[in-house]
Amino acid sequence: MPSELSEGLQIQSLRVELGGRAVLADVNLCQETGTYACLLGESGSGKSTLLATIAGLIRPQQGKVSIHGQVVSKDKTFLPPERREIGMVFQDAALWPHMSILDNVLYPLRARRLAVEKSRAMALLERMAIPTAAARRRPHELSGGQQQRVAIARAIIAKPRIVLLDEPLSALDHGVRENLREFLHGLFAEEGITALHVTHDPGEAFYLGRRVGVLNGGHLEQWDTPERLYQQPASLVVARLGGSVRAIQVPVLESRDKEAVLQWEGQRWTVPAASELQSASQATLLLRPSDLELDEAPTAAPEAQVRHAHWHDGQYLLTLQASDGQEFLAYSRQGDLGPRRWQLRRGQGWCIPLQSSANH
Amino acid sequence: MKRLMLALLGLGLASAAHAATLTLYSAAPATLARTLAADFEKKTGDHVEVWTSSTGKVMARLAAEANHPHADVVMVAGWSAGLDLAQQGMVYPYHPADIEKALVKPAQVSAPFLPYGLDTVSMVFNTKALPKGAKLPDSWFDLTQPQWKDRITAPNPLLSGTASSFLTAFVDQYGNKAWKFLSELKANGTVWPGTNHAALLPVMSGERSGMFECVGHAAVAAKAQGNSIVQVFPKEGTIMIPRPILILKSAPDKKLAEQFVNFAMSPAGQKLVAKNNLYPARQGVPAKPIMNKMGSFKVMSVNWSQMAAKQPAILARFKKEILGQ
Amino acid sequence: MTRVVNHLLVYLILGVLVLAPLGAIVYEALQPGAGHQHGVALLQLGVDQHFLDSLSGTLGMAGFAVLFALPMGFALAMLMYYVPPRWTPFWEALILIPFLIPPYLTAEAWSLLVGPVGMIEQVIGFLGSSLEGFLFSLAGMGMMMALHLTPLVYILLRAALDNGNPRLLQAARVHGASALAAFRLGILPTLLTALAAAGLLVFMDTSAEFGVPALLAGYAGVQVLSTSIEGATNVWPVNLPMASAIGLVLCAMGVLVWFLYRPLVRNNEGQIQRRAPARSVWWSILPIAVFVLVGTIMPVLAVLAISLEKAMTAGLQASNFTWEHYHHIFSNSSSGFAALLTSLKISALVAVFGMASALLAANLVRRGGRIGALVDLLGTLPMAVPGVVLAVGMILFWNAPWNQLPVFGHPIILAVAYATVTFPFALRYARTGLAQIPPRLEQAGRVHGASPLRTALGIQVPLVWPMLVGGATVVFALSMRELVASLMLQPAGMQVISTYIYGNFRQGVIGNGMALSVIGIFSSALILGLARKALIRR
Repeated sequence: MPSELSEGLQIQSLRVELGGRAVLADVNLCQETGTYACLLGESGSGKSTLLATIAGLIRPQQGKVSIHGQVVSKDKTFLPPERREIGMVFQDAALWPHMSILDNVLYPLRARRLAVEKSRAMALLERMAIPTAAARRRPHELSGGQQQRVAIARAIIAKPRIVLLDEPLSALDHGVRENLREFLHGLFAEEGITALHVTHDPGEAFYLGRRVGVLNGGHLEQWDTPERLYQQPASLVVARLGGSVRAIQVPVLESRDKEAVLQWEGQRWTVPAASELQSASQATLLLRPSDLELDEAPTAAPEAQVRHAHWHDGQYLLTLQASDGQEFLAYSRQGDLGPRRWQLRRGQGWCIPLQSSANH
Repeated sequence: MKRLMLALLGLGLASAAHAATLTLYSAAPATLARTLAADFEKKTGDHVEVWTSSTGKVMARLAAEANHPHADVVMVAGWSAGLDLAQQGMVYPYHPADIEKALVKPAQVSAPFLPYGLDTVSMVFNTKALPKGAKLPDSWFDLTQPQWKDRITAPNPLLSGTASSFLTAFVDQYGNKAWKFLSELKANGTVWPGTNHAALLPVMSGERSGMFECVGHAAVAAKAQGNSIVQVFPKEGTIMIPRPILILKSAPDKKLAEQFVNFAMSPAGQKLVAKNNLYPARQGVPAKPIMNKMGSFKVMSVNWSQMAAKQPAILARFKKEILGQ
Repeated sequence: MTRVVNHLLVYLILGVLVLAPLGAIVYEALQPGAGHQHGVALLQLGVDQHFLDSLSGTLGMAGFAVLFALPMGFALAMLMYYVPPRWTPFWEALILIPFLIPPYLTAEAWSLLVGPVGMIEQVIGFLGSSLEGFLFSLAGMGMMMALHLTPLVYILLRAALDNGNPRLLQAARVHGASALAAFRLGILPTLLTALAAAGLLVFMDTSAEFGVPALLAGYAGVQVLSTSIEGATNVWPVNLPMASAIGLVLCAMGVLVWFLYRPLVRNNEGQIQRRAPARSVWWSILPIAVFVLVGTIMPVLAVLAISLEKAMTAGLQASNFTWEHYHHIFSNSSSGFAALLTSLKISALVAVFGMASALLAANLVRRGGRIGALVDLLGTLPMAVPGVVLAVGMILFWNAPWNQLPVFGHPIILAVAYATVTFPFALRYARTGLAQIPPRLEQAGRVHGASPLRTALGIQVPLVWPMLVGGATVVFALSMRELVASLMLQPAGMQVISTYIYGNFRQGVIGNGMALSVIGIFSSALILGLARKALIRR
């Protein structure tokens, strides 16, 4: 099938246990060749383990990993890392301190017995904005940002089938990080390199990834475009990555194709809904501040108490408490505490199956 | 894999092992064994590996290696130790008549091996370290006097071949009187710290005054260095101990071993024996002038083959009663 | 594949070095003893008066060593920490030197110093004779070991003091504790743990010691287990089951103490806190200088002096001076020089081979799991196994009728023995080295196309190189000084430096032995210095 061929990376029902504890369970994802994807998750979510498993540094208990259509890990099959034709960038650059910059970059060519073209390495370093004179120096003589650029050069010089990046920017200072982020974006798009980038920074993931996966507690919660992650999150965890959000538990009156009719604060609301909602009687309504209208709310609208207000981005961000005690956020031009009328904007909000986690 | 590892290890030590070599286990003075080996090498071009220790340890090692024998030629200090090995059937008889004829009188003892030299035992004193007002004794039995309390050492007969030979002869001669003397000696604070040298060292350094049944060559060597050491031959007499050189049955190259024994018994070899403060076994080779002339002190007569039979029981009793082991 | 080879190699190395001799000992100890008609040798020990005497000798010697070493090490550590003299590093180096001098040499030197015509008496005219009685006793033997081991106590206690968090002390003071109460709260607990650990270590090392009792016990009229084992193995009539049984008891003592010791030092790896340097005080030099005098200066001077004297009893006079012993060592056919060369060769070989094996083993230990823990245990076990027991085990194993490998009677057996004795130290250095490289550096190698072997040789070895060289120098130094296994295992035709010195001392040719001691100490220090300089760049 043609679609199979364009799969740069495919993972099916992957399960990894470390020390008897499941670190990854039932992970499935499929990444197109030549695209940049990101894996987002907090520390301990299993994202680095997933990367190490793809690299062949960890042997999974179950599941299948294939790179460019070649199965590298399934049942008894397990290709050692050196035969997977991949490149990798680590959080702390992981340049070998006993080799020069140039030797670091040339290492993948030597190790794979490919033609050792110094000129190409030098050109690559130049492209990474590493001064030519630095090529003979040792890694510790370069700045953190420069070291990471060298590590990127090392990862791509042997034209790997996929480049894995494990938090490559998080050890860097803020300014350097933004700069390198842009650089990565341009470079990988230009070269058409398949890349999987692990990070805990949603901004970074949304900036770089054509697709973004969200890992939580060893589960891949969602694997989607950044837009859909924001607008149609599969869970509260995913929704939080897109910005401030509150989860409200509400009864469902009726659920249709892509909508649900909810009953809350004495009113019926028609809200976009995930197809998994089906005919559940309760649902979690995810509300971002921009989903609500306060200043233009009609007099018939329900009332809530403003508990807290602070100046934020040119307007007030209010914390409101509904009559059933549940809290939500909204923007307004006024910051007074006390009762306010509110309503849900048409087509805003997002309804998912009931999640146990409480508001914040 | 193990062989490969051994081979690799062996590379670094290649100089230590050769193909055609003679292995000598010796309880003779270390320098004698080494110079004999070196001169033999110079003369014949054959290599000699030497391991030197005390008689007791040479005997132990020969027993331990019964399964994988390493030694070809053995030199021990006591004649009875040689007879013991012969009794165990380990000795390849070699005592050509022409060499036996050339031996000095006290060395003419019938055995399946040859004596390479002779030695005595005596009392030894450090004249600088005598107790105040003490005179040198002239009898073995004087050493139990209170003035020698904690001042005397003795070699351990389990280690020293000459001491074990003397002990056997002494017990043979005096019976229960000898055992009583030994236990009194012990009660008087005498220690048996090890070999002759180990026992002589505190005497040389003055920590102790004197030594019981000290082997002659060690005392002479200490004297020759300029230490204030005197040998005393008691009136009861001492014994003249031939020191055996013997070839083991397990030696693969008997010709080479015989050559070595011949060399040790030759005038050149006997000169080395004399140089190391032993009485040469061969007539016509003089002992060092510093040594007491043979005949100038009294010697007890010894029946060696009888003694060899009695020795194990005497040593066992000594080990238990005197050393408490 | 590479991994399987790595595993097999490590099993083979540990099997040959550790399991084979220990297994042989256990097997032999369960045989009937030579002097008895029935029952296994191990059970006959209980009614053997000689064994009980030796056991009490060993316990006494080790007890005295602990009794002397702990207060000395404690005093030195407290002085150097709270009221250091000027030029602290200089004094610290002097305090540590006795640990570098092999204990048998310290004992030899002291036995030359004391006595009515010993060097002390020769120089100051008194004290020598009264010290003699002390040296040739259980307490004297314990003292010799204490001199050797006090630096170790000092190091452990200093580490405990340095590890104490000064903030805890400050917090205690701020909240109303007196200086003494703050000390009790913030420092005493770690200090007590360190004292316990140091005491166990001194006990273990002393009870395993052979050289010092071999030299002194005979004169003291006492017996200890290590020399009994050597006697039962090396002196006719031989009783190997008895030797093994005593060895097993000694070994069990060591292992027991070691298991008590290990947990005490494990959590002692805290960050060293730098605190404001203490005010230096002149009077703290006095006690420190006394230790340095007794532990370092006097023995070293005695060795030097004897190496330059014609006759020991003639004393320190111009007419008694000679270079003869040094001439003798450097003369062509000298067995002393040959012994030095042999020692250098074997020690260098063991340093290289030992560190390579230790690196292989450390890789397994790092991988963790049950196998890692087992490799760690076996690799560090020789710490608790006395050299004399190991030597008996090696004789039993390599000289067994069925063992056709030509190891016993070949110089290689010394290399094998040294490798076993030094393995725990090699393993510790290799592990520290590996712990210092982030695993990512090696993962980066694998991910970018290097095979495990290539990663090991091209990335791991260069990165742990300084630690490998450091470990190799320690292994080298320990191999150069090893005495008891050398004595019991050395084949015909060769000597090593320690057996030459010991043998000459016992044969009364003291000057040559002392001259070789001087040459040996200087040459190995020089070689180690040059090797370190050449091998560690940057």
